[in-house]
Amino acid sequence: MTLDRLIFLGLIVVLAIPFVHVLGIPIPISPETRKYHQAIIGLPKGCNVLWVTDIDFTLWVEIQGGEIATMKMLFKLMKERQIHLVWTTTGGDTGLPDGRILIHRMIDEYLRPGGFLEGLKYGEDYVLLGWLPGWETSLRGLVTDIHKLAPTDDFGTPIDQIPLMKGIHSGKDFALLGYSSYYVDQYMRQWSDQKVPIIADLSASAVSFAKPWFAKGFVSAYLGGAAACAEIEQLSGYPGPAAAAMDAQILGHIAAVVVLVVPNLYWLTIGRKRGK
Amino acid sequence: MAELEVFTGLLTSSLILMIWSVLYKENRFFRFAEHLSLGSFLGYTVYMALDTMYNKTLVPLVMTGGWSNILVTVFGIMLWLRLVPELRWISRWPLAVLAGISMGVGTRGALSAQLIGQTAMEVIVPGDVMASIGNIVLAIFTIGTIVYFIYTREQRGPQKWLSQIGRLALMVTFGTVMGTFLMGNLAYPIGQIPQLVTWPGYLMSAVAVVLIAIDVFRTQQEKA
Amino acid sequence: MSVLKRKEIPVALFAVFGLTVLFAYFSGVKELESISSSLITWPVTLAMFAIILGIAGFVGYHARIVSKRLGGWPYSLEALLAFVITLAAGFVFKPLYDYIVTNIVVTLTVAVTCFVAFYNYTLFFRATRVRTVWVAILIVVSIMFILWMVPVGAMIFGPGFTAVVDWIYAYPNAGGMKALLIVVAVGIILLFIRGCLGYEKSQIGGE
Repeated sequence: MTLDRLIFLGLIVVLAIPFVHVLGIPIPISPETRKYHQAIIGLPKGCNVLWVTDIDFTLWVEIQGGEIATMKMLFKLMKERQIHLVWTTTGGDTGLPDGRILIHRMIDEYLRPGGFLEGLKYGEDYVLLGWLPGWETSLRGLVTDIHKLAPTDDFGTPIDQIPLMKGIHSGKDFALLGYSSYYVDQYMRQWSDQKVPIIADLSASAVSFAKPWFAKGFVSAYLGGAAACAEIEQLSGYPGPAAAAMDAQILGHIAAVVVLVVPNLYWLTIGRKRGK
Repeated sequence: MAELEVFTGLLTSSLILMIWSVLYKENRFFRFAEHLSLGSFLGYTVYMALDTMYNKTLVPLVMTGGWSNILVTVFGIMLWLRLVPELRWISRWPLAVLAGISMGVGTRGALSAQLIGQTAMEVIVPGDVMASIGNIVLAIFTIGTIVYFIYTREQRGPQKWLSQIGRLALMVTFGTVMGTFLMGNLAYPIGQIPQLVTWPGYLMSAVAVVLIAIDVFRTQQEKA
Repeated sequence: MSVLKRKEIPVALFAVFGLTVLFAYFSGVKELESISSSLITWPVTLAMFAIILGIAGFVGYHARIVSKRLGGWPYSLEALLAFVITLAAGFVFKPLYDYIVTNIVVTLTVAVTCFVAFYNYTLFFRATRVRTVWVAILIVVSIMFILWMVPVGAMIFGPGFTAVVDWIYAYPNAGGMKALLIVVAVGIILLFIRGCLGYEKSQIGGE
């Protein structure tokens, strides 16, 4: 029990070091992140993008950097290339409305203060559909009949009265489907038949599950965890919270290797002889 | 407002420390924070549910009606009958409808994207020997893993060797999962620790350290 | 009335609605697709009714503890007060609601989830002993991927390390994952069939 407490304390101290003294370990950009970046900046003029923010408050802590950088890139493209964004959340596996809060938080704390909304008009350039709980059923509804699934937007306006939504009814009206979540399979099950590029901002825990879908081309590009989020921040030119946390991530990973290796070395050499 | 920022900093850091105090031992601070978390989280969720229900169900029901809106509202009210013991059986109907629709949607996706989509694969890539070798390894590992899960007959001969390859594939896969999960798990304390080591949070951290030190000292005294 | 209470009715409802949604995709019949696209919107509404139902259970449970002064009743009172204040703030004074959500709900939710990280390390320390070759493979691969996820691996072992781990990620790992996806898909289909035939009742509130 005391050993466990020492591990907890040691972990807290190790993770706190970079916030007291910045280490500044450089982060190389991976090919996967470059593909993700290219998938966004290569969007054709005037196209529609669907983005589903299926993250809760805990996942937000991990991938907020990637989500914010993605939104900044999309809103910049709205001004430069007149692309349009339909932004919503299905609540993910928990079905909770955290995504709705986080969407408004991104707008109020990052996009609006950064001037990304200047010159853009709600209802013509972007639409918020709010919280649509149901996960897979809602994901399916977004690409089959979006007007039936979301009869109103996040503010109660009937969707038929929103100019942007007059030309958007199903998945084939989008040039890009994107989402942020812990998972991959559920989104592929419901969206892969649309034959529209899909990109994802994923938790690191989804990285191993994403590979079969990525290899088959169902997922065009993805960000896998805090490290990839730090990379996209760098690549897009919008530094943010992910880069600041990378030093702590690196130290935490080194500590994990130590905790895995040292007890095993002890057990394989001295411990096994003592029968422990 | 600077005072509000200081108050908020002290509030959030003290809440984090109250929750994390259970890592030392069970205590009243943790139970206070735990129940505060439960109550406020549910309050927030219910408000969002009522707000969304008004916008996405009641308003469309009143404005446009339609068989779908009427029927789903009726099923929703039937769900609430779960609270009445004599009428609890009625709530099974909307549950069955919800489960049926969800499973139908999931099964459609599993059949087309997962089963058919993942089974078909290109093994030989013309002009790329390394990719072809990799794909052959991938195909063997995939088949081996599927064979590993065959429990309806005794595994002997070639089937046994294939299932051992499958076991190897599973160890590699689970090792990958174990290794990649760490980054996600580490992000949570990394997101909270800055509030404990910067102003004004480090004041509460100092208080927490002192309290723990006093408890450790007292425990040592009692043991002695 | 006793006919309506029969357990076959929920099973039939499950099968009818599930098969409607399933066949709508494969049949190509426009009317069926229209019905299916309406049905797909139902979980949005039913989920919200279910959330409110769940709250009734929470309030009832903690109210009983407070009213009967059972063990830990001050904490139950605290939970009920936090619930009422947060909910009321949403309707009456939005700035307070926003403050509670941003600084209390979010902070506490993430703080509780941090235990995953802490217990991850004690798991590594206590439960990962190399007793067999299979466990050794698992631990070695996990160490490789721990170092692969951050730039440390390449810094220590050079660019060849990244290439090796990339290959393991792309082929052996993908092979195992692909097989799991296929097996899970078969499981989902079988579960649906069992639900339609009435062998699975857990999802419809039965034993």
